[in-house]
Amino acid sequence: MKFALFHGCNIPARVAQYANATEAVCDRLGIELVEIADFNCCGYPARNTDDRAFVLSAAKNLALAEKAGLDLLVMCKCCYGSLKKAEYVLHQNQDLKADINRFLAKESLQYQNGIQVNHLLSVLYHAVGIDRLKGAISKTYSGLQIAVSYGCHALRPSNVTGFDDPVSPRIFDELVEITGAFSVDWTRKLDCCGAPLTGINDRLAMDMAQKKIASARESGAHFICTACPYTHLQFDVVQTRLATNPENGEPLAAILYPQLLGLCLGIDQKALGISENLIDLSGINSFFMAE
Amino acid sequence: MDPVTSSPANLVTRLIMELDACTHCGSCSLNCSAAMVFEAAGNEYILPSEKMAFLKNLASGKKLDDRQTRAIQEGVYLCTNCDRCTVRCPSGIRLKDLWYSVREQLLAGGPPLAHVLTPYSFARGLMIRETVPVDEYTRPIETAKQALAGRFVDLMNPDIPIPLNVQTKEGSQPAIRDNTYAHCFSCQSCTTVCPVVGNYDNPEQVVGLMPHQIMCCLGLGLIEMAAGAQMIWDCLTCYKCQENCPQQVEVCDVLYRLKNSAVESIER
Ligand code: SF4
Ligand code: SF4
Ligand code: SF4
Ligand code: SF4
Repeated sequence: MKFALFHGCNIPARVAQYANATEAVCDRLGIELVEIADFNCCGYPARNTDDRAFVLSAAKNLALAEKAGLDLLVMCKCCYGSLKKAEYVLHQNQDLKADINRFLAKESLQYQNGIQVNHLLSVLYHAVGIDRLKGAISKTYSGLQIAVSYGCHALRPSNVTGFDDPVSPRIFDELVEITGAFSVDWTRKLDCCGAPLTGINDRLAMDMAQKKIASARESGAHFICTACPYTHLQFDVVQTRLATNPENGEPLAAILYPQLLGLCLGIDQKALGISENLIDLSGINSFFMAE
Repeated sequence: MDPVTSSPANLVTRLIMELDACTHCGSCSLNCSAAMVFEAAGNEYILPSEKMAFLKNLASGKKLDDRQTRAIQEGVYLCTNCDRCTVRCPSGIRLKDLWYSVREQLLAGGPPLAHVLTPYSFARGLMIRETVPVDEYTRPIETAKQALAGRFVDLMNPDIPIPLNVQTKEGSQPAIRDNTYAHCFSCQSCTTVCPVVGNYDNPEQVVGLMPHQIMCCLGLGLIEMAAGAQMIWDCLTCYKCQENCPQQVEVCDVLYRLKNSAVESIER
């Protein structure tokens, strides 16, 4: 199994532990990850102002993967949604595709829809599979309750992203449950974390994060599990800001999925960047049964 | 040196030293994450090496005209803060710190910049919000909103009836290429599931027009009224509306289009 790893812009600069944990987990599972240095922004931040710049940015990445003959493994849900959207738009609009390909030709690239865009969770669920994952696990949690945050841009619009059932998705829950943890039902599980408005309308962005955190806490979760750098930064950095107001309650730490899984695969805490999250995660170790 | 806590005088000295160290080798631009946005927008100041060359001129006392101010302001903003330029620079220049501080300076003095209302602002919200005075932080956001939203009718004021005879500019129709809104039958499902609407007791006053009202405006040809609603800039792009529409109206994508055309219209 071999994929081109798409880092995006947020992970290398602000959530490096996500990439490190993903690489460690993939290495353990025999998934080969290839680095393509010429990848650029997925185009997501340009979508508000310049549709063409967005599609061009996304298409360059797709064309680069195509040239390397590799499917993509994407860690960020916004990158995933954006690359899927570009793929969809380019399929629907042949004129735009020709225009984009003229640009790409300058760099000896071409987009012909020859590869598949996958999120990390889809690779683990579909390509590796629950049974093989279960077989690789060396220890499991006991009594651990996890609130999974699905992430808007992977889930919707479902006709474009094709990630999971948009109304009652299961992938993330099942991936959490193989670790022995219980995936709690919570009302805001499929809702927005607020990240798209951080820096634009911070009050609204914080309201969204706070409501999700309150809902997760109410459901009895010990941690929120994330698989997107934007969501993770909302629940880590922005939550730290929220926690300065005692009315918002005790912080509820976020754990990245490859960190959660990695511990069960027996991977070293350091390789998983457990101490690099802002909100302390070390409590997770108390959920491993004493041997 | 921490760009945030170090004194402004130290910062300026360091900026000048770093600008001096730049050999304009171009390495930083080779893998710039925003390279394709440069290709599409044609503003060379999006490329880090060109920003450096420009700042060097600026530091040596060169005066800027309006067009240049706008271009450099946009160039510095259309950066994803990915840090790749910093990693690549053979002279060891910490470009990422430069971008953060130069960006604030350019925003403080410059004209309204639409790009402030995009996820390019994410890192600013995360890293800068608590390090500068509140009004310095919010001013660029407010001026961009004023320039883009509520330009045609005062949608925020409940006492002013919304006129139904708002003229649409000639040629503005093609700006909304996606016309799925024509299938809207005003069931309001989009508005019911919208988390932004749900966040307020008085959503009409906060967001101007709610998602179903925007689709309705478009159906009536009131494109400029729709484009003036605060809602389009407060949309989280969570796609709940679109996923839940029984008529397959691409609500969130239509809002994206409105944002695109609003930006085009102030740039013209
Ligand atoms: S930090 Fe900005 S200028 Fe530097 S490589 Fe990334 S996008 Fe380009
Ligand atoms: S890589 Fe460094 S020295 Fe070269 S142009 Fe960029 S900033 Fe200047
Ligand atoms: S859900 Fe669809 S049909 Fe109903 S009001 Fe919204 S756009 Fe119109
Ligand atoms: S995409 Fe925007 S308009 Fe639609 S439900 Fe989400 S926040 Fe509301």
